[in-house]
Amino acid sequence: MTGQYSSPEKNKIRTALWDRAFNDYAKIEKGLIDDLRYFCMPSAECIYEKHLVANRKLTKRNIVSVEKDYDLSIPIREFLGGEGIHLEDSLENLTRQDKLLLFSPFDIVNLDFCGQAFVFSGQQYQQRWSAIEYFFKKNYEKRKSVFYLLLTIFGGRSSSVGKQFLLDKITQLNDITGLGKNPTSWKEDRLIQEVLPSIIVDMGLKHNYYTGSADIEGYRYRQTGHRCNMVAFYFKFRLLDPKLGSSTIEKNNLFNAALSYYQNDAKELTL
Amino acid sequence: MDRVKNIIPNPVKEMIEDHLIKVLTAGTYTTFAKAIRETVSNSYDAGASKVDIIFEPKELLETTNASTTVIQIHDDGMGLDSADFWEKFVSIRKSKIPSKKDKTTGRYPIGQFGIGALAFLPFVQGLSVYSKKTGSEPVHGRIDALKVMETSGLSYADHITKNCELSLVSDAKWNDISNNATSGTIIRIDGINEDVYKYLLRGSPDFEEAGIFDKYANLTKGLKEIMWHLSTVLPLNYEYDEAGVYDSYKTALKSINPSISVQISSVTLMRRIYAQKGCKKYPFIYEDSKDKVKATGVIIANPSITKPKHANGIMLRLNNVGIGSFQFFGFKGHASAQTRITGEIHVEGLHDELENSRESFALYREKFSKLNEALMKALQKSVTAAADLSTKKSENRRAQEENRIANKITEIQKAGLEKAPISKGSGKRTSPTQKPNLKEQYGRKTADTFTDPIDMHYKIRSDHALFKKYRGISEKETLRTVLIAMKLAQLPEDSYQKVIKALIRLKEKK
Repeated sequence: MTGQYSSPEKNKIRTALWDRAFNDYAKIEKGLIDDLRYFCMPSAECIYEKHLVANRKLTKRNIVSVEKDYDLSIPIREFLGGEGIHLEDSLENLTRQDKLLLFSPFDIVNLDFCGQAFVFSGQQYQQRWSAIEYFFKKNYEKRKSVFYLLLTIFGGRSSSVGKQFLLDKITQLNDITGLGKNPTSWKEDRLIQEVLPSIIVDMGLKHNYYTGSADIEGYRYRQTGHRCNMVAFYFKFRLLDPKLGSSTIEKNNLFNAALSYYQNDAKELTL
Repeated sequence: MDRVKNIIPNPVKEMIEDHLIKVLTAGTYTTFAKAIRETVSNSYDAGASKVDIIFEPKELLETTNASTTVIQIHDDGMGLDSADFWEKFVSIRKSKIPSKKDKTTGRYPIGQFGIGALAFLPFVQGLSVYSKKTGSEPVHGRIDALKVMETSGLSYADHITKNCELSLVSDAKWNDISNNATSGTIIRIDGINEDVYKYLLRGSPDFEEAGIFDKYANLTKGLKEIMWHLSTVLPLNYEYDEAGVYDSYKTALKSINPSISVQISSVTLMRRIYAQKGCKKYPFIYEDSKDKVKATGVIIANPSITKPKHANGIMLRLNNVGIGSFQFFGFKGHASAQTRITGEIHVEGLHDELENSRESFALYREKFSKLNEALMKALQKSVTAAADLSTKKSENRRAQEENRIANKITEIQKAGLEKAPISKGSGKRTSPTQKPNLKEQYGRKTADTFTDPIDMHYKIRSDHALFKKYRGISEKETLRTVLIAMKLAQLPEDSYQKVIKALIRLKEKK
């Protein structure tokens, strides 16, 4: 297990996507690091969180972490040192019980899942989507004007139902955009990578958050020494201004605009 | 893949049947803070140089509950192997000999009874320990605290083995959990009882938290109380004090036992000398070669009340560990001056003079009684000094106040109010050489209208022009200045009689 998350590929993802969120928060949104509330699902080594505290001066008090494993929670708690908040349960359980309410809203939400998202059989995987949606809900309740979602999921092991869903989505995206992407030769990670942003954008709009293609970035990658492909994304969301309107038509327009990400081929990470 | 196997314990050596439960329930460890102290003492005796205790932050503690509260204690001591777990961790060893240096650690033991983390048992629901001894496989032990505290009719050894589990863990797992420590112990408490939970949030009713770890927003009152207790008794390093006492008396404050680093929720605990600038310092040296008793330290007479109030008194330290709390050992002197006293004294050769609880020395024992006599004399001297300091300080303050009032009066006189003859008794104004210009002086609409600056309850009307103009550093000073100004302005007698009454009432209130 040691070193599992310190591969060159993972480090590149951290730099390209995760650091992007912090940079944007500081430079574009002029946010103060002391005010930044960060949600994460760290590894036992807390590699990225240690970097944030040491180099970006993130306040530990503003870190909310989740890990369901008893043993892995020990070094995470040690790192947080009684300053940051650590909740020992699955994210799905915590969000279902609304246990993050008191610690929200969040400026940067880092959902670094290890598991798959397109299984659609049984509660466990549907709850993963509910868990993602939860953050939109909680941030909207507090009218958070801007927040960042970093999402990493397993690029495979979808069920047949899940795979069909993804293929159907590609057809739908082709229709909406007028593009004729052909998924026949794609591996599962590419399939997921092409579809997932549209799901997240749609989810955001449902909760009055919008994004644009310039604020979406993703990669598929495989870590050295691993057999599994992962897909990782960066999203920046803004609260819908009531002046812009939140009617179905306007939201539809915003959705279509965001889909311009689909014009480009989904990127594979290169070192 | 982790290799897990149940370890069948070796026959436990020198366990005392049922003694553990009796000790724990007899009130030896009556508080959670003392249980933490004992665990840290155990880490110290195991050669640890650093102990980290991690509580939930205030924001989480206030929203969670007793059964889900987690506390972790990490040390970098020698660690345990599987035999040690049964023979040391879950047993009571023979009382350690605090007067004899441990050859392995080079330290004089400070833990009591060797009870260690078991001191937590009355307060917690579950206790888990990961430990690694250099050269041995890491171990993971789990103790069902609630079941251990029940009586079972079994022998102690059977009772304990029934309610504890031990397994080996892989080096890889240990490395992940411990951040690659070569040796050490991690204790994890899962769930505490309701009383401890409430205590963590609110502390004890008689604990005054003002001035204690004020700058740390993530600490609850209970946590501050625990940290206060530990920072006063554990063998910690001294931190900077504004009066420079530690720097001046390093030799007198040196102990035969080294210090360790203890952090609680990321706050490093330091030992402090609560001396204020301008204090008087009295080195204390005592030696009885016949009894082989030594004591060195310093007693401080502060210019004002020692803060925090819990540091009022003398702390005696044996093997670098505080015995009980700051106290006066029966001394009674000038009450107000006594509040200004604080101090630290390190003693040697009094191990046999401790009471069982280790919270105090037995005054009826000869060796300590002799030391106590010397302490009483030293306290008398320092309390007298504190009284003198206090008197001088009051005199200074009074002189400064008189000065300020005099300056204000000069201002008033320069402003053109002549000193008119003061009527005696009649309360009537004598012929003034100059009628006071109330309008000009006090902004009243008509010269004849004057509102009392004091209301019917003898309270100051703080928006009154007089008080705005002649506000002093204290209420008393303000009233005195206003009184003189009113007299000079020949304002109505009954008005300034009211000011006099207000002054009297102020004095009575104090």
